[in-house]
Amino acid sequence: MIYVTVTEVLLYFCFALLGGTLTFYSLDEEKRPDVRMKKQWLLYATLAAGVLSFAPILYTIILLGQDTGYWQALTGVLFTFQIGKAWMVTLVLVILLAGLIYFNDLERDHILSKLGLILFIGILVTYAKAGHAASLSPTWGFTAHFFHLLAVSLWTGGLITAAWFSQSTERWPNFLRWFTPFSIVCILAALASGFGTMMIDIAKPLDHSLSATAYQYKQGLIMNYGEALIIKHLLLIPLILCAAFNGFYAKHRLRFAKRSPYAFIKWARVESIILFFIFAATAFMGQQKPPHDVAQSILSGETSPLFAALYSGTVKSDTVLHFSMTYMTAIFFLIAVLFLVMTAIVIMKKRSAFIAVVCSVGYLISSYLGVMSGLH
Amino acid sequence: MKKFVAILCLFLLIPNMASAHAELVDSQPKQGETVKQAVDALTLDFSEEVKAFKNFSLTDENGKAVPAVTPSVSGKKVTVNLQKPLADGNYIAKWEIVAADGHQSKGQLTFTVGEEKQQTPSPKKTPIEKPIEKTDHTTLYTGAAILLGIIIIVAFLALLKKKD
Repeated sequence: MIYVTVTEVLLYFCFALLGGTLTFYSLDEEKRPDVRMKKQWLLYATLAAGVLSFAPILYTIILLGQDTGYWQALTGVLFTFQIGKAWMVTLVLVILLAGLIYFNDLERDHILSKLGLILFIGILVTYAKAGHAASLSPTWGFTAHFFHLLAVSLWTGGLITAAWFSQSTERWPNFLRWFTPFSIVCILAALASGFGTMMIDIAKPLDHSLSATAYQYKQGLIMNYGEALIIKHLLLIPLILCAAFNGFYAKHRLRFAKRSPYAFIKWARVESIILFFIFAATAFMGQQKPPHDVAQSILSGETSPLFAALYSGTVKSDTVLHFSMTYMTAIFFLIAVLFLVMTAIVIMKKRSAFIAVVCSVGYLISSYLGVMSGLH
Repeated sequence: MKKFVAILCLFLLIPNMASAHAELVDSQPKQGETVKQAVDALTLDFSEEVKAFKNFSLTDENGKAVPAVTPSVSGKKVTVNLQKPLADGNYIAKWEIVAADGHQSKGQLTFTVGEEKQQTPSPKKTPIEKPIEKTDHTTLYTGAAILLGIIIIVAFLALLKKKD
């Protein structure tokens, strides 16, 4: 299962690379950052997306093959399971996109780049089709998950591609002019659709109300899925902080402090490192059992080892978690805020990117321990 | 472009065969229920379509396995016929399930057959549980707080020191 987590993280990066590059290629050159993406790289990312999205299917085949034989498992999963059928469509789209990239010079062809972008969005459709949310609620779950994927791929794609493949920052101010509002729209869309997906993914099978979701979220902390979910959510704060600096503060510096230019690439890379942690938490979560029925999962011994290591009480199937502020919780939250302030100071004082990353990790550990120490 | 439209149509034609982590929503007998009639079959209703139902076991309160006929799966419902009706006592059924998105999960059901003894108001219905034991983590949290405090001071000093 750990292999699937790794392949999923790599898959997210392939999605980001494709989303970012194809978006840039469909724009006029003066609006793009100075990105040099080799044709082979784009081709490899496309083919890798096809291969990597097969990993969860392979896992299922191995799981079932032990009982029914591998050939029967292979045909069974590919032709009757939602995940298999969706992947067959992914494969066709991947081949079409790879062909489009191989036979054309997309960097200089807006129209074909837009066609490529449509094919890429098609791949996201098939990926969302195979996800948890779509299987639980074919219409709303699928829609929410798809828009989450779309918003995240286009925004993080632009960010990661610009941060790691730019040759210079000459055209960066032009790029920021459209990318900052674009990012805001994407982040808001990702938050809204992410919330929608979560409502479905952690819901009780028969109760989808808001209060039930809040209860599931809290009880879910007993399981790996819930632990990863809260880590992901805590990481959104330094991510958005960093994004705000890279968008608004960078613009401010351009206008008022022209003598000390903002190190665009450096801080965009820090932002993408925080994204990596979020991708890892998301990929891990995708392979865990969602907390639909925590009591049942406690009975089957499917509790989170991390939770068990940090929770002070006894956990039985009828345990209900409560959160309250203790001195310890307050201290951890205070340290967490200090780490955030430090991150901001490091960026404003143009200090080492390494310290900024350390401070973000410090923030994550402190805020997480703050939450865990308040549970009883 | 034609190809693309063809694929889009293909995608739209794929039926919405819903299935995920199938959770038990209802069963016969129900979770924790005391049944007075003879039990010769178990029925399990899941939230989603069941793709594979495996490693089923039914054990009595002494941990002895009860022989059962291979479970039959139809859509969201799984039926397990037993070779003979169950004797009085506490039972626990366990299974593993694979849903159409390829995810597997485990589940279990406990129930009692026979008259509920009136002297004991709440008989033990959950013979097997793996609880997390109560532990005191004050030292762990204090240690972590001190360590994080040190890191933040060191980071702050590193910021000050490099200032020219």
